[in-house]
Amino acid sequence: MKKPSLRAVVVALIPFCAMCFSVSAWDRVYPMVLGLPFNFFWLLSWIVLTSVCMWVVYRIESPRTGKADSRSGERQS
Amino acid sequence: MSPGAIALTVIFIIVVSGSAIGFYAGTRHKMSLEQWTVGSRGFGPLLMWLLMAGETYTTFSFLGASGWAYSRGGPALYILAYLPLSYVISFFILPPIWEMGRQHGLQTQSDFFLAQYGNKYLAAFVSVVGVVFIIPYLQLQLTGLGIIVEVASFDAIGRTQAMIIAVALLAGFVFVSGIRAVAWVSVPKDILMVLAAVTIGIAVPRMYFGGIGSMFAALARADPAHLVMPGATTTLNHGWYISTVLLTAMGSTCGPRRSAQALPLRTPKHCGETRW
Repeated sequence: MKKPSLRAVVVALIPFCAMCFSVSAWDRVYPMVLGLPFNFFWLLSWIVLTSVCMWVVYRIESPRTGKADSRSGERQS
Repeated sequence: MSPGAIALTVIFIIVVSGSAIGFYAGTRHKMSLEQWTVGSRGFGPLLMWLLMAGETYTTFSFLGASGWAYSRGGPALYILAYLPLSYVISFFILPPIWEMGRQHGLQTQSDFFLAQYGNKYLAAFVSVVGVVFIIPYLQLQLTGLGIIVEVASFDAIGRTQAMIIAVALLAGFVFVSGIRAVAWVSVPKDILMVLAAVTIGIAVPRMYFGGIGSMFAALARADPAHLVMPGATTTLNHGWYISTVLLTAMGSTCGPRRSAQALPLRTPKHCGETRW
């Protein structure tokens, strides 16, 4: 089993900081964004941003684990 | 038709077509133990996505989560956080399990523990824990299912009958089709759940408040404390939030169901893709 690279782990920790450890900073009603309380809006945005972080992690990790089959397709170029 | 008759017809059509999909899912494949448990490791990205979405959206999404949000308020936000974070953990844990699965022909989580640590007592312990702790989970899901059918059928189908029928059908199509049934049955289920969630999420605020924004504005005027932690509780504060999010994110990754999801994959490429 390969260990993930430090860079990948650091990027993957961003969602944990944003959605979990920093709760005191964003758990508030105002300012409301798009009609949603701020804490609700914050978490919904981070569901999307977590995907962005994991895309970055995937880009960091896939050349390390990948053989020919993980390089095929435009996604990997 | 009376509302009750319409409801019964809709339930009947959904149950029959859902079960038919479940029974049909396995018939196109020659059944062996490996086909039954891990789909002969032939799942592409679409089936993997369906399998994972099927695991994620359960009766909890409709009853537990919304009930929690209504009765407790702010603390229910932990549900939004722990799910994505559990998949972040899975991104690192599932690919090695998949790799070992392919090399050693693993079919369950305990197979993995046996192959990795070479201790059959540990593997047996893992399967006992997996089975014992899935019982309350099933109990919870089935009770939720019973309540939903009872309410949706205007009490025409009792809670117990609904649970018995559901278990019989479920056991039937899983017995016949294995993990392929689990993945394919979530197609109609996920479509219906998304439709229902969007309809209720948009229609109810619109009917009663004139929109989602004005609903939250009214809520914030009436009871602003309900929208933040600890909401209607005294103990579910930020410390609780952090520990619960971490615990549930790690816990749902460690369960036998999540690691079983790594095994049906076809190639490592899809392993990375399905993580998000």
